[in-house]
Amino acid sequence: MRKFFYARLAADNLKKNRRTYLPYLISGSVTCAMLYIICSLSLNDGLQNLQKGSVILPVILRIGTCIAMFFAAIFLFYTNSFLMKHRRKEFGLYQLLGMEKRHLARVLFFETVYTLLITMLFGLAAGMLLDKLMYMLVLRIMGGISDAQIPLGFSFNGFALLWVTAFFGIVFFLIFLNAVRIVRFTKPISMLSQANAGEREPKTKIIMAILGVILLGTGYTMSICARNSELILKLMLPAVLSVIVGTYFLFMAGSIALLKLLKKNKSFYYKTRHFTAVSGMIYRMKQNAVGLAGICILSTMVLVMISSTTCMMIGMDDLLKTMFAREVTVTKICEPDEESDFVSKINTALAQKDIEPENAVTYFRFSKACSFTDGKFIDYIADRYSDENAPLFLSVTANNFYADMTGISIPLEKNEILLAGNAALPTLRHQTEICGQKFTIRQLTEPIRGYNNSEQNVLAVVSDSDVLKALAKTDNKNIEYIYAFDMPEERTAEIFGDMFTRWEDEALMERFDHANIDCRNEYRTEYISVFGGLFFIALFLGVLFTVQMVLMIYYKQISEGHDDRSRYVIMQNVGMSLGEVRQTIRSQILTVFFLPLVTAAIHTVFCIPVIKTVLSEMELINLKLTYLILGITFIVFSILYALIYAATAKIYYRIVSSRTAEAA
Amino acid sequence: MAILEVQGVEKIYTTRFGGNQVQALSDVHFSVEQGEYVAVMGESGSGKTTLLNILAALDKPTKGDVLLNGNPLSKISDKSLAAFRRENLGFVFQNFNLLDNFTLRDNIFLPLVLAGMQYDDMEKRLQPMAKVLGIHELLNKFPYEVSGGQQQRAAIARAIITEPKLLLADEPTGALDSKSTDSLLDVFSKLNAGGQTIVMVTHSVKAASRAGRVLFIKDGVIFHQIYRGDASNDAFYQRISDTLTRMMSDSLQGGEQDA
Repeated sequence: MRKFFYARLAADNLKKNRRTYLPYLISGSVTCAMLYIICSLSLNDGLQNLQKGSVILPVILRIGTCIAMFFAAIFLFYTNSFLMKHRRKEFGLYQLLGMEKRHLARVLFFETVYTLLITMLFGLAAGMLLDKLMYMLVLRIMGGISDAQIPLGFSFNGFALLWVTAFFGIVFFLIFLNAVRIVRFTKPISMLSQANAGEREPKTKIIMAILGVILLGTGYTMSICARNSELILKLMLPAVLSVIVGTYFLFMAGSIALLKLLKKNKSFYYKTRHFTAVSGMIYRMKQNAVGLAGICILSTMVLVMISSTTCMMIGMDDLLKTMFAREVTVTKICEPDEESDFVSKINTALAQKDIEPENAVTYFRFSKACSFTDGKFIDYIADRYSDENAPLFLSVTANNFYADMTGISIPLEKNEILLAGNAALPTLRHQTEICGQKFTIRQLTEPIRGYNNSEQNVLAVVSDSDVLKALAKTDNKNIEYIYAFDMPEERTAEIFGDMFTRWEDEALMERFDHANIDCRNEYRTEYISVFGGLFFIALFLGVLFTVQMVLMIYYKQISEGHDDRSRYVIMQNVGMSLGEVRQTIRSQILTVFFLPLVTAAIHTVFCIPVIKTVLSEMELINLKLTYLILGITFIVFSILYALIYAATAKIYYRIVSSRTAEAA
Repeated sequence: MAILEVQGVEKIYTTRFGGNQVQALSDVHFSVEQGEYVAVMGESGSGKTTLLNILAALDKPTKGDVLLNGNPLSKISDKSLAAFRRENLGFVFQNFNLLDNFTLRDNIFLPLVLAGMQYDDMEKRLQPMAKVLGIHELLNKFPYEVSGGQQQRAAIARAIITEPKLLLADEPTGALDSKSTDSLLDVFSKLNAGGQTIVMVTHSVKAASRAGRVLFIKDGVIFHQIYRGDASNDAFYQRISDTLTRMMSDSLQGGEQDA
């Protein structure tokens, strides 16, 4: 019987503390299920063999698994130390009753084992049940494959199981060590009296507050200044870190500094409305700053991840349309005076399969590396000692291409050109020279998406293909013949083979005159596995973070409730009506909980330049869509947040009002 | 004229699930004159805390009524009850009930701030009072930074800064050492000498002996009352003590009869 004493005590403890332990167990199980699912997806053979293009998907999923595990470990650890802190009194009592610290450690050991077992049991069961569903979801996101093609039934992934078990084993072992540490280094008397010790008013940490403002400002400035991907890569990490640290500093020190400032203003402070609110907020911020800053950072991450990946998913078709104006684009590179009959060869090949190319167009184009000096485009001569003189890539094309791409036709004389404009050419004059030939610049236009988005790419449009050919000839440049047309996309594979194999298929290429063939739907597959993978990971992490946030908010409500109940009683005794007390406390609680959301919104707004730049570098620039998605994501998230708040607020009121009744 | 009249107050508590009924007060009658200093004595469970809660309008009697300045408390709506309490009553508690997150000054100002008074006016009221109570140098400290006696004096300041008609004290010396008790009782006497009406519930004979009249409550009724007249503190102490002894021996005999 004695052997089971500690095991039983541990079980009783969990039962007794179920109000705090149940949410911990639930969120732990959810985390476990999610980790199992993402782990099993990343190891899923079906997904790997799904399409040749999606080799990248398992890699993205694996990276996602690592990130998810990292955050999950932090959350589990954080939540447990919160639980431990709230149980100090209980541990103190056990020690007073004669339990030694090693006995307590034994109880803690059993408690940890129970929590681990329950978490793993429910988590893995749920994970295995939902695994298939998630697999289908991923396939749905990837598109193309219908659910019918997936073998039904129960799948089980041994490696995923092993990984998740190992992960939880290690994390819970660390949690156990931490709990023992907490018990070991606290004296029983201080454990018992901790609750009664008067809470000191926090000091104003003015340096920390200023540092917080500076860091946040720096982060924001970096975000605004990051105008290209190179800068973003350089500034991303410092910007994110300074915003995170800045947020923590501002929540911890800035809020208190501000409140103290308000308190100094006597005519403001000594008003019925502000009096209890200001002084109450000082203490609330002291206790909750760290948790709230955490909630804020999590919210920002969820918002940015979900909205940017949604932009990618939704904008993808747009992108593909600008990259490939037609379903199939065939490019043949020829000598300047060589005429190619590849167009007729392709048409013949298509006719054999009963396919009539639609919307067919033919363009000509040639490109060269140039320098722009004295208003002239001259041949680029590599200067290995200087980075300053980077080459411009000049693409020369005929007017029909421009009209086709933009839908705007600007009539050009033989000696006129359009330049698709570009900030790198500030000294552009009305006269310019290309390949030694003089042209008048008719108009500077916006860059064409997909062709000259970067500062290094310049597009020159000449009046017709004869001028273009003549130019290429004087320069001895090869010309690209481009034949683009629409056809049913589901038949491209049948006719052109697969993107990765057709180059090896000599007979196939022979039929198409060894031209380069790009099919839009092949790129779509490729893009979907990248964007879809990112989108899935974002959704996944979003859910994981939200679960953690719910838990954090729940615990905050509990601790706030316990702190407030005595205040409630005293204020009523001094002559505040129950309604008044409720109202002041509610407004404080609202401020505390919605501060992170508002801050997260501000963070997200300052993140927009980065999102914009990243998306535009990926040719996904559709500002209206981006804002719309950001807005919708934020609204959905706010509603979710408010629901979480409302649900947990009930617990708060229950704690507070039960004690009020008791004391009166 | 009587400032406080308690007329046939009865209070029955029903346990939560409607099972047992506990009669805390049976039939309490008494009145307190303007400027009086009344102590209510009784054992634990005699109903004195219930009585105080009813006087404070924190609880409602099952039967009977309490009149403050001729106004029956039962006629006051729940909405205006808090304001009524704030304007007419001052409270001092055994465990001080100061808010930890306020300085002593802010604790004292709390009822005035609730009443919407200007800061300068509050400060004008506080200064002379703080000097009398001997806490004028502690006003910027937090409750946990000062002694129990000092906390209780701050609590008294909070109770009387609204210039209440009636000051109610619930075991005000219960958590204090004897030296602090003496100085606190001096404060009460001083306040009473200044015209403040005080009703104090207490266990302590010493505290009761400073009052002008002592009511003894037992099993939910006023069992006895004695007036100081012109007796000294010590003589009054002796009389209270005797009365308590007699009450005790009565209940002992009662117990034997029951057995």
